[in-house]
Amino acid sequence: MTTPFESVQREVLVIGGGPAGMAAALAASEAGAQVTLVDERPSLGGQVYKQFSPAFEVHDETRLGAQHRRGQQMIAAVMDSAVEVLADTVVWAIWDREAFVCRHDREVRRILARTIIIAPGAYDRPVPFPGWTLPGVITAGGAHSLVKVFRVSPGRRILMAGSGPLSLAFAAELKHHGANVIMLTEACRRPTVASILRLLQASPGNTSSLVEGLQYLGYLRAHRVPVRWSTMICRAEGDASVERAVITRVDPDWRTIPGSEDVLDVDAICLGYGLFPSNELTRLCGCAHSYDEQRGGMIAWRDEWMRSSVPGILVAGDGAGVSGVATAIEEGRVAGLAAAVDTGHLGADAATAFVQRAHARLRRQRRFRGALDRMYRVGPGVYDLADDSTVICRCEEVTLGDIKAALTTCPVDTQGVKDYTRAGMGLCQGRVCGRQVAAEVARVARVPIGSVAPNSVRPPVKPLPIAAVAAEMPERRRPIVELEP
Amino acid sequence: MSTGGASAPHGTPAETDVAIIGGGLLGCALAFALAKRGVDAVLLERGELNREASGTNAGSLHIQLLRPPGMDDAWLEHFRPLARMHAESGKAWRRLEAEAGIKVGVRMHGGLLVAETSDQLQMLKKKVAIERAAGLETTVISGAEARAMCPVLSDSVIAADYCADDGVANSLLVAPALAHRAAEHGVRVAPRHEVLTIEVRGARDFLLQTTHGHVHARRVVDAAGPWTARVAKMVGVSLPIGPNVLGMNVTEAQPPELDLLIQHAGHRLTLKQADSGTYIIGGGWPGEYVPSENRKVTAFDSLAGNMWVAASIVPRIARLRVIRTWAGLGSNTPDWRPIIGECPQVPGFHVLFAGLGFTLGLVCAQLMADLLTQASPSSALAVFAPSRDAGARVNGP
Repeated sequence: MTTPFESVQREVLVIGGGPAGMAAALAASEAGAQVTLVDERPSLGGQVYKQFSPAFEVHDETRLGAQHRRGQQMIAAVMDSAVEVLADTVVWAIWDREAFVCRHDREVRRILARTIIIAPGAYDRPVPFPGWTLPGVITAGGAHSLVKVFRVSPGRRILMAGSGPLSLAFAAELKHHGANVIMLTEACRRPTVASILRLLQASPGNTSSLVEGLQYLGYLRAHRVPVRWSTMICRAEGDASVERAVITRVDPDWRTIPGSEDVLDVDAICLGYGLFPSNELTRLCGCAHSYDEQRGGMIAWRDEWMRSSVPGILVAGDGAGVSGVATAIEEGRVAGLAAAVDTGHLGADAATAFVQRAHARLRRQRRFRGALDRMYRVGPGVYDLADDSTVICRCEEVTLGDIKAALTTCPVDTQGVKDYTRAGMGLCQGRVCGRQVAAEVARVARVPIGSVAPNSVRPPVKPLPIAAVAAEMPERRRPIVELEP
Repeated sequence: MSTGGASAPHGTPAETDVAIIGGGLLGCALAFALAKRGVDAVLLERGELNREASGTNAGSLHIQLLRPPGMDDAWLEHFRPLARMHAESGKAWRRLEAEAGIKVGVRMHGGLLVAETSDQLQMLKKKVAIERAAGLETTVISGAEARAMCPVLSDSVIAADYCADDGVANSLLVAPALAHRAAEHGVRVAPRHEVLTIEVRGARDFLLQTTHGHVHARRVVDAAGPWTARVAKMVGVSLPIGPNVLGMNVTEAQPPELDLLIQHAGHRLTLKQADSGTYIIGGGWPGEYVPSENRKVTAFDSLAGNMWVAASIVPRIARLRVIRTWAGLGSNTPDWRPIIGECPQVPGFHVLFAGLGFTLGLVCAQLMADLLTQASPSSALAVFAPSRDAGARVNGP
């Protein structure tokens, strides 16, 4: 019996149509490799180069900013290239270098590739605190999509709460698009002259990023949006939706300082505490990972060609550690060239020269990023804001109190918490609650959070419509397996 | 109990009457049964409790007999000795929560084994005759009656074997809860204690070397599930147990609409809606095994086929999304019967293996507890003796 699912072979499969994935696809394709690029959204661009909903007509491109134009150019280059683009296509599993995708929520296809480049990007870091599940509390990424793609403001009075350059940029961008941002809170300390000097020292070739940051700050000041440093949201209040935000001063570890609270009347709270890499696919493939809180948590190990520890699997961009768009593009190009080498379209020598130049640029970017990360260090207090009644697992409505209670009897690991409480068993499969659960396990076990193994990833990594995958199959007997020695 | 803590558990036990190897449902249920009878026992588990077959199965309690796919009609004769054990299992699961004082999601609302063809219906009729003779209350009902009982069923169902004792339990919670109760009654529960060697020092005199010290035991019970044969080999006993990998699937949650356990007379299917609202869909579709990492991997063909069978019997399944698949180990003997008894060549070494481990686990553990505490073993256990000729190791169903 032949499988009822269309199965194709490709030299290179690129997963993710953001900057890293597009750069990878272009580099591999220009070198002559046969490339398929898949992305789960209906159009290319990823988060950072997200385009307008087609329902809107753009009259004046110049007002959209340089980033938007760079994205448009890159998308156009991919569409004009030989790259096969499959949009609205979710990669829900990889078994032995065969990717299983679902197109338009209804058609499962198998793509067997010699090389797979995983460039899935990142998603907003969830930060649980009392009231964070009230309607009106949304992630910065969600707010960005609302405003940028659909031209809808998340509220009438908006608090932007978070940390890092992205949160600052979003606040300015939201304001620029006409949303009423009443305040930006930044959990880290106000930069000192010394820290800015350090940033400058690390910046040769990166001054544009620094200038951009200062421009955002200037823009907020000019539009009378106050920026409160060393401040975090610690509670959202309201009956059916957000009516008030309680903010508090925090120390350098982001631990709240009692008695420093302040109440703001707001109807929307955007949370921008940085990003987590989408590492589900690299974990599913068994790639080696390490832990780096600053770059978002578990990040895939790679060699200088962006090859992971698993043969044939390469990883590029924020999905392998949050580093920003410029780094994502460089890494994408390197991965694309590596794929071209691996599929025999490019000599290793020819590629090496380029890769060396790319790494010189990457080193500069990493120096700057490192200085920036030191300035915006994620404090361990980020895991301390919830109280016992705060819902941690939103899918299964498991509170912090439930998790603490389970940890008094269950094995002290994330699997134990999951088995006893169902935390992580819902639609998002622990993307939202996983880290907070790990933080609780780390607390009880008295180990660093990075040494707590997260729950296993299993197919499908995104919910899969059963109608798309159901097919009559032979019911063969189960072979006996030889258990490990 | 000593299951908590990421650090090494305190106090490795040194002397005991019964050393139980394996912290799955059988081991934990036996520990509880022995604890209640005041028997000194130690439960040794190499990892955490309940992380293998007992905790990765789908939690179905298929009290009515289930035809292993691919077997000819002779299977019924094969299963005749098991029918009474199935009937007893239904009662044991009904009693469990009250008897042990635990809440582990036992829900015995009945189950339907559906038929879509007249051949399948004929098989159901023969099956019911055997079940009833053994005291297992099952009835063949028409397709219309089945749909009246369970409106989500497809029109293609022409008949079903109804068993009021079929049900579900939360397989994640049962064994740990029993271990916890056993520990409260004095059994020393030792997770993260892997048995490395078993030295037979004489009749009823064993020295077990574990990863955390030695245990001196008068009797040993091998309840290591898929690894039972491996443990038995440590004392030179060979058992024909064949481990295999099977996949399970879970959908997004729905409002309550199905409270029965649904199985199929001609296809691999177990399907039920859990308390959480999710549908858990299994039925023994194969997965794969990575020995170096003890990792069980689901397979695409099994996912596709299992979803097809499920959606053809409960059509609304096709509107849902599957959110996770996982695989666990199953294992069985060539004659499909449990192994319960003492090995004559190694006095004091006992084997406790259920095959259809979750459903039959409580009763099998009970029988072993009886055996360990009675002066003379029951002759009824002869069909389950480790020394019987069960045949050569064969593939799973």
